[in-house]
Amino acid sequence: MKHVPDKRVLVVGGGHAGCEAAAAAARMGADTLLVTHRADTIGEMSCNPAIGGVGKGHLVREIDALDGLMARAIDQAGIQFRMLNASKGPAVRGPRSQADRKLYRQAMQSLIKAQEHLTVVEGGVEDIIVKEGRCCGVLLASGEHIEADAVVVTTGTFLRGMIHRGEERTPAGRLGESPSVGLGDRLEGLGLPMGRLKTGTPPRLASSTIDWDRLETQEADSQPVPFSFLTASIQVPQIACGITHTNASTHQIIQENLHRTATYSGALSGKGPRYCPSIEDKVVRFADKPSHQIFLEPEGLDDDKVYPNGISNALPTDVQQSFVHSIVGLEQAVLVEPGYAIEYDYVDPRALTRELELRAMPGLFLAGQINGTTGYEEAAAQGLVAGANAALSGSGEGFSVDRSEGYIGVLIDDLVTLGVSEPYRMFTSRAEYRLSLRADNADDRLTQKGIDAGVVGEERAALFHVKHSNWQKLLSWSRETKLTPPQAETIGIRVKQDGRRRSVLDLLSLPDVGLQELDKHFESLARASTDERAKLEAEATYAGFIDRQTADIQAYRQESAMKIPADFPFEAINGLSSELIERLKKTRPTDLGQAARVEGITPAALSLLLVHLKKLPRVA
Amino acid sequence: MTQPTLFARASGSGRAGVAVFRISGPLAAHAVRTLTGGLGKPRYARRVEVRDTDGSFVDDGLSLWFPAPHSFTGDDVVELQLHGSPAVTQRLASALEELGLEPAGPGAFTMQAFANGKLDLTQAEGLAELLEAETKRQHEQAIGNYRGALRDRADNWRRDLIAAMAVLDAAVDFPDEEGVPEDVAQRARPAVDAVQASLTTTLEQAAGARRLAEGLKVVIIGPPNAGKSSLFNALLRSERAIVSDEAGTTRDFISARLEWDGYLVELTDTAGLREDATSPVEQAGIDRAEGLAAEADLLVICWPSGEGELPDWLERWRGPQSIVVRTKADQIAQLSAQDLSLSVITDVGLDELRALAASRFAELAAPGMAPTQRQAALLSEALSSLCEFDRFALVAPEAAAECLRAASRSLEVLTGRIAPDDILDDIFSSFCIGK
Repeated sequence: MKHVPDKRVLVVGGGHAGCEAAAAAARMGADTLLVTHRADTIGEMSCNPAIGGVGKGHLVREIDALDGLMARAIDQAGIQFRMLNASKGPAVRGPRSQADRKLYRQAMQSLIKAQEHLTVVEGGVEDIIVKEGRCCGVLLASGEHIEADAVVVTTGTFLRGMIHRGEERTPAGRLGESPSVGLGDRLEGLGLPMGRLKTGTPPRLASSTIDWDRLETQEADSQPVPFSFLTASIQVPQIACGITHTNASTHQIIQENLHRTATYSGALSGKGPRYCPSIEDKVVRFADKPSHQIFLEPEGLDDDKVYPNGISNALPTDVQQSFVHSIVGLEQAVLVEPGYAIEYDYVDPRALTRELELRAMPGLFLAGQINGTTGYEEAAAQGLVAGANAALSGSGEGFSVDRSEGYIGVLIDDLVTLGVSEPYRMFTSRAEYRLSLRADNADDRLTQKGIDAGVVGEERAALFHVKHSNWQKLLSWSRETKLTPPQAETIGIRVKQDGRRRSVLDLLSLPDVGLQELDKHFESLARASTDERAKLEAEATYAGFIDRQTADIQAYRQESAMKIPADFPFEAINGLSSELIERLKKTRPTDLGQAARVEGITPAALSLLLVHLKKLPRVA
Repeated sequence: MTQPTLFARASGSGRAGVAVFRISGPLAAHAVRTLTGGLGKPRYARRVEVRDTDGSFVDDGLSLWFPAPHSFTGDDVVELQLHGSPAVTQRLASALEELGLEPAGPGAFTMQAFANGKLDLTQAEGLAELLEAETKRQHEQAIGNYRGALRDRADNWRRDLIAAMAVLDAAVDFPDEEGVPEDVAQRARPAVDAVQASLTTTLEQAAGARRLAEGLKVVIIGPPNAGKSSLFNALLRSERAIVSDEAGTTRDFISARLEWDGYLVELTDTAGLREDATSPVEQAGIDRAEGLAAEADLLVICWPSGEGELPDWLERWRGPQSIVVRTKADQIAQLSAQDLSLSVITDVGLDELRALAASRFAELAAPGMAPTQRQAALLSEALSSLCEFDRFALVAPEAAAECLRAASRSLEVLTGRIAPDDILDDIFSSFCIGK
């Protein structure tokens, strides 16, 4: 493992991106400072008290494979573990758990505390210090200067954050915290392309005032599967969530008060996420739907607050109250905090390199919501990459994951290539190599890479080596142990009598053959761990796709190897539309593969680009 | 970027009344100004005198100026129409080279057009065929591809597959949402089925379209002295023979290329067949004739009218791919009821044979998409990915979506998403110089 001595990294913000950034830089050996307004809010879940999901759960596993904190924290705080998509194929099963917010904060704060080379500093950052075009520290509100080799800014929705609720406007970050205007002005002063987004949160309800007996419930999985490869089992008690629905009278109340919601009064200009619409949006856009589902998620084991997932809104408090009361089980519910919408600035991530460093300001890295994403997991993943690269800043090296290696690679490549038009959330459909990028094999894909880069600590590295070599042995055994058709017949598996010898993995991939059929005949299988068995099943399920996917990855690498010079004149290609040329100039793809993913590029445009790139060395 | 300016004689080589010289690239205007003293109005013919750089007279003719991007290549283009003599060609070439222009290699102008986005890959491939087209029907088909018919179809397929993929992906990515029905596979299926059917039809038609593009093989067989050669010559006289460099003449068979009702046909007259060969040399000839017959798209079996029914060894060739012709019909009164009677002396039956064959050609060689080998391979690849869809649709939507993704990827490659070291050079090297 290599380390970066004598580097100082400063991380601004103690949210999910900030924590991972600081811990990653510290693991790399950099002297790391985490600057936040209040140390006791580190690891706060400001919105939905849950981690994971389809795509998001994959990200958490990858963060863990690179020795990040999120998976370990949720394993100590999760109160309703569920494997989503359990009935679909292994590649799209996503671990998710609801969190006890307090336990999560505590777990995160103790992980931060335990991290070597990492110090937490309380204070507000007013500005960055720039010398010779490079960011080399920050100026605190106290007037103190702190020098650093690299700065990671993870200020979430703090940039010109504006809270909307009915007709009220409150400049703020999260509720009750002050926005960082000075830093926002500085970023604006750099002439960076900026945009405006919005997101919303539902009112919080008092659990004791909900009529739980009248509601359906959703239970946790009976066998909770931990997020972290380091967690042996989940010790936190598991609870159920309630389910209820909006109805015609709810919709009528909302409909009648649309003119009073910030969302429809024209006060909000930012774009919100299409896939996580506010209740006002749902009522307007899906007017024919008589009802919408609401999950009632307790915010903790001993917390009276409940998060009603599905009714985020920016209506005035009195309207929120009356529509909530129209819902079954919530007739008497007390609103502890009303919901609101928040609008904030983000930096167009196309201004960033793959290392998440601003092209316009070397030494300054951005991660999290400030780059236009939504979600704790997306923020944490960026934090980890930005933190590791901040530690490497100036060394000429970088740490990046490509699209064939992980969702982290998909996330960052999408951001820096496509930019965002709405808050960016991870979906499995964004990954073209989805069948290989599974939650179950995140460590096989990434941990060795992390060890080589220095971002994975010794404890995990040691564990990984043992686990990985056991798995490799089992996998080779399953490929090399072969049976003739009569031999297969003796263990009760009927195959075509074609004389072909089939491996254990081949047999497993037959539609009606499962591990339990084979267990009694092969000790290696019976002995295998739950993880290993799940991976073996996944390998068998997708066996038919492997050649194709390998070929695709090869083509992707070949395209990625075709570099595009930083000063390549896209405007000199006559056949490209001026719109496409503008997009290419904004994104500045570094290779043909990235160019292929720029929005609006057609195969024909791509072949044009290829021709011009091939011509380049001859005529330059 | 300094891009070379290319020139070539775009009309065929050798002596000709008029030859067209194409000059394309940044120096085109300068070169023509230097050699003719001006450029003239864009896209108007102008009478010019072409003079060497030292002022000596080379030729006189017409000049046409196409400023970029409104030209075949998308660059500045000048076309000179001069006398088609080797000496003029030679002198013009040295004058242009002196000005820093370079002779164009095969396909270089098309490549430039491609690089300027004037043509996409499938259109370039269509153009290659268009330039090779010898018959009316070949021409119709090639012009379709040149105008982007295959690309348009592939783009539509891809669009439909991506829409179907979105249905599956929604089920995968929003497992807890209401409004995402469990019957996603059923919702995705109609689009998948439609693309699959359309791909299948295109590939099925492709065989016919390729026959159209490459020519139909018509082989005449029969015993010695059955009138095969007379028939061969009669057909050659009545149809438009195409002069070919590769007229294969051997002792055993003779071939000619001709346009037969608009179809390109390679007509072959074989050595006489008989049941027992008298010598190894004759046996070898018979073997070759039978080999040709087996590969024929249409077999014309000759048997003289007066000789009764066909013997078994000839009868076995009868089938849907053959026409039996009773020759020398002028020598007898009683004509065959079953087969076509024909005489090359009285011309009886010749028109019927031509029409009968033409109707067979229409069945065999329907005009349509004529994908090249590269294109057909990608279409088959896409089809086989789609065939996997059903296996996964219900149990693993992510795997079903992968089938669709793979298919749409094949179609992307078809329309131009090609690997850096792929077939570009192959495609453009199939052109001649000056294209």
